[in-house]
Amino acid sequence: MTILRKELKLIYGNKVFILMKVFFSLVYCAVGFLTKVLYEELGSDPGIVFYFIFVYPLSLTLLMLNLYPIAQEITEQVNGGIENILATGYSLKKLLMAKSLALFLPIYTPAALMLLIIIGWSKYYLAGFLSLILLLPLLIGSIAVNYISGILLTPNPGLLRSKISFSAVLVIFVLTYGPVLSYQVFGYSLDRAVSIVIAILLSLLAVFQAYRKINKISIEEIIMGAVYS
Amino acid sequence: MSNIIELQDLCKEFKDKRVLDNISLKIPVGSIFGLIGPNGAGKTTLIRILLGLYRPSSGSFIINTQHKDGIKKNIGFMLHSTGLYPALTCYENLALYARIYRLDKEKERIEDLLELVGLQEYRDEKAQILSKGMRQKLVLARAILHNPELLILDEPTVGLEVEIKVWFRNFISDYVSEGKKTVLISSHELSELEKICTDIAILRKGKIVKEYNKVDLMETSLEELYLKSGESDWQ
Repeated sequence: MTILRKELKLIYGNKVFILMKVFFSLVYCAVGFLTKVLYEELGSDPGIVFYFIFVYPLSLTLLMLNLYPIAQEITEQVNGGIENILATGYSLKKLLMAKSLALFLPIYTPAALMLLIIIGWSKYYLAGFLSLILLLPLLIGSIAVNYISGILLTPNPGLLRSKISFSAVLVIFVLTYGPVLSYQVFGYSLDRAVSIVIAILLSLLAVFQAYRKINKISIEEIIMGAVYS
Repeated sequence: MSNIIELQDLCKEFKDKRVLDNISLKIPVGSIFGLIGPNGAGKTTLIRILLGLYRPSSGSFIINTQHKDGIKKNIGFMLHSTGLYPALTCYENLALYARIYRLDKEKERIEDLLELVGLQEYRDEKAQILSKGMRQKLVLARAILHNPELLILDEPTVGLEVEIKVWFRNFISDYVSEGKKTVLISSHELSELEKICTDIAILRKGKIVKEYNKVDLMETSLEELYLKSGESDWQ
């Protein structure tokens, strides 16, 4: 809790971050409401709703993560904040979890807001809440852990940001055009159940990756990362 | 006299490079132990091992103050990097560590320390506005926040003004004389160390090449002893 409180204080003390968060929250709300227009325009196709419930929050999350300011984490590494905290004997896993949670909360809230709006008007309660309380937290949490681990280790945060940016574009492209291409090439459109299964698999993959990172990362590696940065 | 730190054949390698080579050292309780050596001698690596930030490649060490819950409640430290959060105030920077150390009467302790290091009037100022000397004083306050028995200082006075260096020296002497405290201090400032250290070890290329005590230091100047220890390097 000590580190989480400190992280949130630093994050929310950053005016750029507050502006970004408000901006993204508005964009997410707008997407939520626009889905209704699309839904009515396209003859109440439930596929649209499922698409926005399962696919869109995931891809937007990646994009948002890339756009959030990471200055605090970089400064922490350069100023030796991590090194000093770890020298007290504070657990590395606890530190990673606290920092990841501090990143998770501000990213999850606007995405959850959008989902709540969609669930509200579409009445797809089961699918909506499955995404809201299971898939989205799993995915955003895993991405946050991966991101924080990467930031602590990398001598070049800019490169990490570019990698995330590339991943975001790739994921958005695949998720947005994947079903269309699949329909055009194979004449096969994804079933709702298949979409959900893919979303679950994607989330579990991210969880697995985060679990591996947490178990693999060592204090020495982090200190070496700071030495060479 | 019992020892607070005992190192036995300690080695550290990074890939193929041996940074510490069979270091054996005993640091007695109540001493001010100076660790001197040129850049790259391995001083910081040794300190990082003692603080649990690096694992030794071989050999062992014992610190006789280790706390059972894992948090090093009896060890205070000042590292090269201050680790201060520029966006937090002086008070908040100390409060963060007070919570990590789970201190009772956190507020009182922080107020006392800020007064002790002369930063009371900067209590609510962000750390980013402090001068280098003030920042080092704040880091020193953080190092003794939990009243540790062992203080490990890695070049605490490098780049500071003379007045602050003298203040540091007096502060450390007073801290040790207060009770069963021990200080391990690594520095390049030979004249500073000479005035306060009870024991000195010279580290060169990862090896302890010489050890001196107070009596040796009274007979010959530290500068002379230091240069003598490295004669083979430049001959």
